[in-house]
Amino acid sequence: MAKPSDSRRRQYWLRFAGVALAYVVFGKLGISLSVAEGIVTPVWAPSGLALAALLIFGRSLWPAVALGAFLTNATSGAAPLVAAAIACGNTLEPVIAAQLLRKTGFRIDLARMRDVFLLVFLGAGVSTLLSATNGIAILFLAGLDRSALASDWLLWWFGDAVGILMVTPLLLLAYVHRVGRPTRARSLEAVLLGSTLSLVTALVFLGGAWQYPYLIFPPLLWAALRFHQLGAATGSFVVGVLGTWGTVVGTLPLEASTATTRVQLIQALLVVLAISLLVVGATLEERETALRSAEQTAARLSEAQALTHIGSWEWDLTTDAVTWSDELYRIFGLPAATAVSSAEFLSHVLPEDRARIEETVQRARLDRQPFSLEYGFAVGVRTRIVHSRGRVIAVDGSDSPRLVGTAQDVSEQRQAETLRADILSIVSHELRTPLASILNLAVTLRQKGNELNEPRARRMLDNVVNEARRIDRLLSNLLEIDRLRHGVVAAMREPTDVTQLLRQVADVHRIGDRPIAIEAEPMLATVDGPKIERIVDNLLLNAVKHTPAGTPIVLRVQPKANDLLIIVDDDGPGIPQEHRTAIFEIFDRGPKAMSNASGAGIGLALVGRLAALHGGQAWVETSPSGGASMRVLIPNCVESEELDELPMAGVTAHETHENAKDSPTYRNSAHSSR
Amino acid sequence: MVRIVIADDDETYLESLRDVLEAQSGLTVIGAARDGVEAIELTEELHPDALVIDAHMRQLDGVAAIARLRRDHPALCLIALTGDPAPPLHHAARDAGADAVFLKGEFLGTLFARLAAVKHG
Repeated sequence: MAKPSDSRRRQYWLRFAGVALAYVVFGKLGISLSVAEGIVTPVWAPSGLALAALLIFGRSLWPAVALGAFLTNATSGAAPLVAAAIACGNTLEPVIAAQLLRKTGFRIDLARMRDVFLLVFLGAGVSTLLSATNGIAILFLAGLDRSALASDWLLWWFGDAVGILMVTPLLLLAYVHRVGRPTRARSLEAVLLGSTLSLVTALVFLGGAWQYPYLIFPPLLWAALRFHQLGAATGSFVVGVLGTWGTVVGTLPLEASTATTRVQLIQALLVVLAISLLVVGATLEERETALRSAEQTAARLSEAQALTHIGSWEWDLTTDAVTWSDELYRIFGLPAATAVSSAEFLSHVLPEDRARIEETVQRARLDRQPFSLEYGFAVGVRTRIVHSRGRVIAVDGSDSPRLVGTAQDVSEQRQAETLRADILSIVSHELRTPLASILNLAVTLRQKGNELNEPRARRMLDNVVNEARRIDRLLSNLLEIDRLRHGVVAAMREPTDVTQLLRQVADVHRIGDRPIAIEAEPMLATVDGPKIERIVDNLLLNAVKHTPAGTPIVLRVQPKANDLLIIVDDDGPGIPQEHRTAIFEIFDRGPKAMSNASGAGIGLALVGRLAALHGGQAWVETSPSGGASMRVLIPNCVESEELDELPMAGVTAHETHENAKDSPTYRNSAHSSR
Repeated sequence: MVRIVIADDDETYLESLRDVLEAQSGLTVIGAARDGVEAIELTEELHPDALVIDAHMRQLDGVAAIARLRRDHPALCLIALTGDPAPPLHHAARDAGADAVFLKGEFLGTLFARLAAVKHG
């Protein structure tokens, strides 16, 4: 296994070799052209290559540039010392350019206008001065050619600049876009565009159609418009290569003294073209970035509004134009983007809140103070409670103000607050009754204890104890139901002798002359014993509490296929149909619906929750004597042997077993028992 | 002896109320009802001097029973008990014709005095 540092080193040397080799190849190509004057050539791609390499891979690659420059010059007729001196300038040029660009915050994707200008001025314009000056100075000192110093300097500088403008953008953008697969359609378009551009450019510069140079503009604009900077750079490069080639081979009848000057003329055109295209590309990129960022901002705002259920609105008081955010349409329950006026808005506001809104707006208009208010908003049968904040924005101090603000859906909070208040009132009611009993019994016993006959005093003391236990049970129920509501309780299922359990619970309630009959056979069920005990305890307590002393209560347990059915029948007044669901759901739906079913309270709510914890349910029917018949069904907990006698028994038993294994409660209990 | 009928849907409370009232000299409980309908029936049947009734019951609410009994028995002493300290229920019981409304959570000393005074008043 290669260590990371090893692989990094190998990567460096690979890059090193690649850059040095490419430098030599492109350098020799430039020098070998007929337009070159010795080693001074108007086509100097290596400077573009070197700058791109240092910008992409970092300046640590400078030795590759130095080596490439030295080899190129040394093998092209320059003495080793001269070649080395020139290579110094060739190396310093991209190193300084890269450094300058990095310092000025240049980005290699050329996506901003400033990147383009930085590359043109610092990269192509300034750093190349150094290389050209150094090169010509060395050549002068070496005494090679002293006839045309100025034009040679210009040739050198211009060659380097063109190299950077033609090659560097292409390499940078190719590197930036090296990842990411384009779609089929886009690839096809790129191929089509490339062929068209190449063909038209070749026709103009090589095929003799030089009278029509403007033919190359449509495909170049196509490239920049559709592919932005990558298209601009590639297009410039293609035109640059073919244009230079055409000039070199002499298919262009340009009026100029030398071939070198002709090449310089055509390259001046190419440079202007390249810069123009890059500027167009950058403009498009910047526009797209701005659009994307605006879209993202809008999306983020919308997301934030959806998360917090806060919408925003604007109301022009002069034109009565109302603008809502998407979330506000959702909050109000109206189809998105329907036009609204203040009158329509008010028509949905609950009538009792309308005057308050109008008043608030009027006042805000006058005193220009921020305001907040709450109102009901109804669409059809759906009503939401909305909390709105707003303020007045005066346009240039004129008298045509706008109101802007937010609106939050607080329906759930308000409902929760109401429910909490209701629960508190129920709990206090349920606590107060036994406390009242204890207080009155205890005070009476203290005051009149000696005068009372023995059985009565005894019964009063018993009731003090009973009522104290009732308060204790009430508090336990309350804590249990709170834990259940927060989902921190799991059913710890174990094989339990249910009948034995029920007998024990019934014994506790069989006080005084309270007959509690039990109809059950010995039965084993996989349930959470203490929770089943709690269910039965609360059912019996409810029956005892709401039926006259002496009337019978029947506790029945039946296996129903693999389910366990617990029934408590009483002889009381029964429960009216309309309260039958509500009594088990008091903590879910609030007690408003069951104000007359007083005393059902939290005991039955807990029964419902505990049944649900076992995957079962609780409900009420009418007992044979017309009283209440409270029923709790716990599914998939009985493994009955009698099932063997039923048809398909084997399949049923098997399936149920599997179901039990898959049911969440089963898994939960298995998990929590580990 | 002041003869009293009591009514409450809470069995244990009903029993303790009976014992507490009977422990007072001069008071006797002649009937106990578990709901409003039974309270009216017992009152018609036993003609008590006073009725002490829970204002909040199922099967004909205490307040409704009070209104009905006040209509038929203008002279009967009607006393409402409630576990709810909220004023609306108290007002409702009074408006229905209750002579007094007592809070369950307090010691019922004033209730005893009030009942004891029935014969004289």
